[in-house]
Formats: sequence, C-alpha cells, structure tokens
Amino acid sequence: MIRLMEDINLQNYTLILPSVAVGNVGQLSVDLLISNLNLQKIGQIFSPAFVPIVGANAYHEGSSELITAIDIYVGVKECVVVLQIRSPYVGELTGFFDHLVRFVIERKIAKVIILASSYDYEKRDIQPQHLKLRYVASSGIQSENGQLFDDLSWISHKPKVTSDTRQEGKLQIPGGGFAKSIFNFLSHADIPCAILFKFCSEGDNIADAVALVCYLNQWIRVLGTNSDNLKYPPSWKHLFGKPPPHNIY
Amino acid sequence: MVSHFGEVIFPSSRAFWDDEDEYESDENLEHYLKLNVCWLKKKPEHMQKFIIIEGEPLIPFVKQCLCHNAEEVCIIETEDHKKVSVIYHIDKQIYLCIVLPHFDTKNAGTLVNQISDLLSSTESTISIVCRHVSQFQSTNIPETPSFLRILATKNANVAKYKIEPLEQPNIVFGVGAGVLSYAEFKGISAKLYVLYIDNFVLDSKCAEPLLQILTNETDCKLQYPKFTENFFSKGNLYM
Repeated sequence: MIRLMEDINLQNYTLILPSVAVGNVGQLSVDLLISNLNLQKIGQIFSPAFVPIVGANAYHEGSSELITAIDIYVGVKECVVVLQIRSPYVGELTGFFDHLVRFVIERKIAKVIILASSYDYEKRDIQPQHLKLRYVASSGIQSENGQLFDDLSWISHKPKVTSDTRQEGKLQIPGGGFAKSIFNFLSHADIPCAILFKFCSEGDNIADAVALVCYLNQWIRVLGTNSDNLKYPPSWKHLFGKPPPHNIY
Repeated sequence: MVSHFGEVIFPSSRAFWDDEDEYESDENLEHYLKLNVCWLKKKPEHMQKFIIIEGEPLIPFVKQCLCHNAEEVCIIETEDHKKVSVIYHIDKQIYLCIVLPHFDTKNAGTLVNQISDLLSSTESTISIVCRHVSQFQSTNIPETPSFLRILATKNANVAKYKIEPLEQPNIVFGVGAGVLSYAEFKGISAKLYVLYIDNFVLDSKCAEPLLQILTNETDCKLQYPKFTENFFSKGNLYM
C-alpha cells in the first residue's frame, strides 16, 4: 500500500531505491542522498513483508516527523523520488513489487535505479581489485546511456553462465537482497531500470555508501560539486554503538 | 552449519533477518505465517481506545491492572491454533490487545495487517512496549530505574503528559511499531510509549511510569498489582 501525503506530478522523475543487502550499503547511500539533497518526505509504504519500525526523524534533530519501515522522499529540483527502506524483508515481496510497478506506471516515472551491494568474496572477475562498482541495465537504459557508461569506464555485471554453455546466463548478485528480483520484475513491465552496486565486506560501510553515491552521481548528476564532501545524517551518530558509560572511568 | 569437513562457511549478513541473502520469489506461500482472527463476542464497530501491549515484563502487570473484570473477546491464532494475541474488552469502548511473548517479531507486519480493520475503526490507538535500557542510544541516559519515551502521529495530543519524545537514532520495531506506522499511514491518532527499564523484571519502582500512563490513558479504576517474586535467572556469575 502506497500513500502520498501530497499530490506531486512525478512525470519523468527518476525513482531511486535501495535493496536491503550486505553491509546495508544501498540504505546508507539513500540516507546520504536524502540528507545532502535535503529531500522532503511525501509518503509512506506499508507492507507486511517488512518488519515494521518507527523512530524519530533521521535527518533533522528535534523534528516530530516519524520515520517508518518504508518512506518516500522527493526532490523537485533534482526530479528524483527516493524510497528509503529501513528494515529487512521477511515475507513474499510480489505484492510490494506489484504496488511499486503500478506506482511507477501511474505516476509516469521515467526510470528506476536500485542501489545495492554484493559480497566482496563473490568478485571473481579479472578486473583490478580497486574497481568494485558494477552496473546492470535494462535494454532501455543501455540503449540510451550505454555510450555514457562506456565513457565513464563503468563495468557491467555479467550474468553468471552455468556449466551448460547453451543456456543463457543467469543474473546473480549474491548478498544483494531483492535487487535482482525487482530488476527482473520491472524489466518485465518494460520499465527502464538499472542496478548499481558495490562489492563489499560487512563492517563500517560508510565509505562503500559514499563510493556508491558518487558512482550514481556520475550518471544522474544531482549532487553537483557536493559529492566530494558529503554530509552524514545525524542519525548515524551511534551507528556502531553508543559511547562508553562515564561511570566506568 | 558446516556440513562437510573443511567447508568454508561465510557468516550471513546483518542486513537480513534470515539466512536468505538473495531473494527469490517463492511460489510456495505455505511457509509464510497465516493468522486467523476469531471473535468470541460481537466484533466492535467502533472503538474509542485500543491499547496494545508488547513485551514480556509488561504483560502480567497490565493484565493485573486492567483485566481483573475484563473478558476475552477475540483470539488471534496461527493456522495450527497457536494463540499469538488476545483482545480483552476493558470498559465501554476501551479494548486491550496483548501480544503474547512467544510471538515471532518477524511476523509483526502480518499481525498488524490482520488487525488493520480494527485500527481503522479506532479513535485513538496506544501501544506500550518495553526495552532494556542497554538498547537506548544516547549520550545522556537517565539514571533512574525506568523512564519513558514517546512517539506519536501528527494528530495525537502528546503535550499533555510531558513525556520526552524518543530521540534519534533510537528506533522501535515489532507490533507496537507496526501499529504506529499503520496509524501514520492512515492518518489515525496513535501514540507509542517505550518503557526503558534497567532490570529484567518489572518491579514496583520500574513500573511507576507505566502506572502513570495507564492512569492517564484509561478512565478505568486500576487494580494495584502485586509484584510477585520472579525467579528469572540472570546468570551464575554472582550469587
């Protein structure tokens, strides 16, 4: 179920959403986008397939606005709609994908970009170790932006070919959550879409998120010159635990 | 689990609830929980207040306070008839929903979805959940046995009782969180109280803020509870 609190014309906007994936890189990247572009919350999605969560506004201290498991943000100047997903999926996602596809079609959104991550140890190609960012694009995106991707020296993620060479390769993003499934779902509905992801290990994944946002920004150019100096949202302050209690000293 | 000697098992990621790290659409929906809502009395068409209690230490306490004359009106159970939640009729149009301790939080969204029609017909929803103080993230943690924080929808009146709002980056998950999320989604008035306690059991000191909420939120006469000895073992390090 999707609810928008205000009716905004989203025609030709770009929808960006994270896949809940290893190291939460997609979700951290979306947090960076929302706080750096100062996006406004315009709606919410309620889906029983995700664990419900609530909390105080993650981007503005002192605000009484709630955050929930899935919130929708918009940047009118940048023509982006951003979905933040804050909890893991625990159920069948077909209903959620269906609602999203209908939303994209009804609102005439131009394209969908999924931000994700994959296990570092799954990177088995022969590219140099520091090149850990990959993309997967639907035919519509590829035909429109393929030249740009080549100019940016982006590396496309190739479907894994099974031992039977006659069979077409199967797209796999291990640790990538629902990225591949939603990409296939959107592609079947003829919605131009792409996955941008980074190979990473779990730990402090802020650097991975910054790298992924800069990678995205090379394509959609929403952050301008700010991409080198990203501001972290205040809700990240205890990302890796709270400070030690005073009475232990 | 290692199934072959010498096999390298990579740990699953913190991002996922279960071990499944790449989602595949599942045609077989049978392993997903299905809940049945069974009304023992007539289902109310309208509720003035719906109170949801979640968290083990709260349940016996709230039951003693509010349920002395209340009758069970509804049971929410799994397909194999395992009770996961019980709804009591407290007084006039006030109902109390207790989420039983063995209910798996991962199914919270399913439970909220099942009671969504009840939530939609309620004037005001109040959820009360309990967390250990170690889960409270702040540089300024109150040094009291227990303290309250509140989250509420835009249309709820929270100024009256002067309870501090839950500060970021703290979040609440589970049925209480789902009820508040759903209320925010539908524009229903709802509040979520989080009781942080520095103990594993609810003693008379820890329960003070909770008694205050129940007194404020219900007009019913509360039965003052007896705190029974709890044999919960905190470990064997100290006798």
